[in-house]
Amino acid sequence: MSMKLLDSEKLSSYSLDMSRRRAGSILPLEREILEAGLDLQVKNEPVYGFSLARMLSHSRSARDLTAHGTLYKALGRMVETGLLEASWENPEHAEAESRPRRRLYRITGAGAQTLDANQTAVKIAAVNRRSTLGPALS
Amino acid sequence: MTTNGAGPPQRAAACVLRWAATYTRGLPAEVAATRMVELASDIYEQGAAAGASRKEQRKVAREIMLRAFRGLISDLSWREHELRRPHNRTVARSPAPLFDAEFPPIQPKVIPRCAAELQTLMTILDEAVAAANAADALLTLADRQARPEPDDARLGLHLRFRFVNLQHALAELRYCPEHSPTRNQTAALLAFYLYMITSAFEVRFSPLARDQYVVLAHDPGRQTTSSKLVSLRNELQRALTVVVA
Repeated sequence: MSMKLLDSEKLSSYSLDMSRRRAGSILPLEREILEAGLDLQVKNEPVYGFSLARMLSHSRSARDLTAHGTLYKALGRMVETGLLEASWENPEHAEAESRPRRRLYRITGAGAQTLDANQTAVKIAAVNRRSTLGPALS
Repeated sequence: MTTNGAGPPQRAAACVLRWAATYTRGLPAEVAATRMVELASDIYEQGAAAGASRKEQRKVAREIMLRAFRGLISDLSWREHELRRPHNRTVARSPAPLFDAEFPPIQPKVIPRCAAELQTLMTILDEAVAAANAADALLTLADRQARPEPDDARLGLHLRFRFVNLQHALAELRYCPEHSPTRNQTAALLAFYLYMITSAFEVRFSPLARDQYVVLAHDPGRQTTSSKLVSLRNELQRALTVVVA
């Protein structure tokens, strides 16, 4: 019996992105990160790993925070693709509060545009679905 | 989060950081350090957001472990991705001479118009070498002791101030662009020591992570952080002597 082996290429979300992913398309987690990040930015609150994890769990009404590996892998990928910009917090601030330094993120113009386009696409898809199912639902 | 002694969140943090030190092994120092610092910050914030009761502390420790466990596959695929990146093709997968990759040798040439600034940089490096030697001794002690003595903790705090002040002095230094490699390497090493000293008593930095960052001279043929500071100072001293002569 032949058995198909899964390798890290097939398991990894990296295999879906960069080269093969359609330009402008984003994964659901990336969309949620962009939404949460924009919310924090609008409130003038710092955007960093834990603040994003907390926002994501609130928005999903989930008890669990996003796993470390999942979150930081997604953030790294989004910085690489230009959806986010990352910089280190001023060490003085961290020192003053006696805590480790935060890595701060900012949603870029490209990130905001991608989110906007994604939300529009989701709305259009929902309208199309409704119009297709319309007769069946009525 | 309580920092006196090792409570459940601290023990969970040490465990997660030990795992992070394992899966970042062999990656470029900057990539590995970014993941470690970001993770340390995240865990700290999660612990700080929890209540002080024993029950809540235990609950947050469980949550920290669960978050790490659920992310194991992502951690490994991230590592694979980082190892496949072009910048890694020349980097060995095992504990490697990371400083060779990240800190290429510099031979500073003194340009007369910036000699005064370089003298200041020399003073900063003198002070940095002294502070780094004290930090190395303290980190060794922190590694051996289960709980720091008050004097050690005080010395740790004092060293943190010294490294922060040196960072400020370096940031305010006017310098010639020709000397930015010396300045940048000094800044990176100061940031590294500040992080190590800050973490040493907070999350019981593991010997595994310590080895990865090559703080101690396990291999006499390899440049360590403090010896790199010494060589930066010596090279600058040599260049300044030539100009003065």
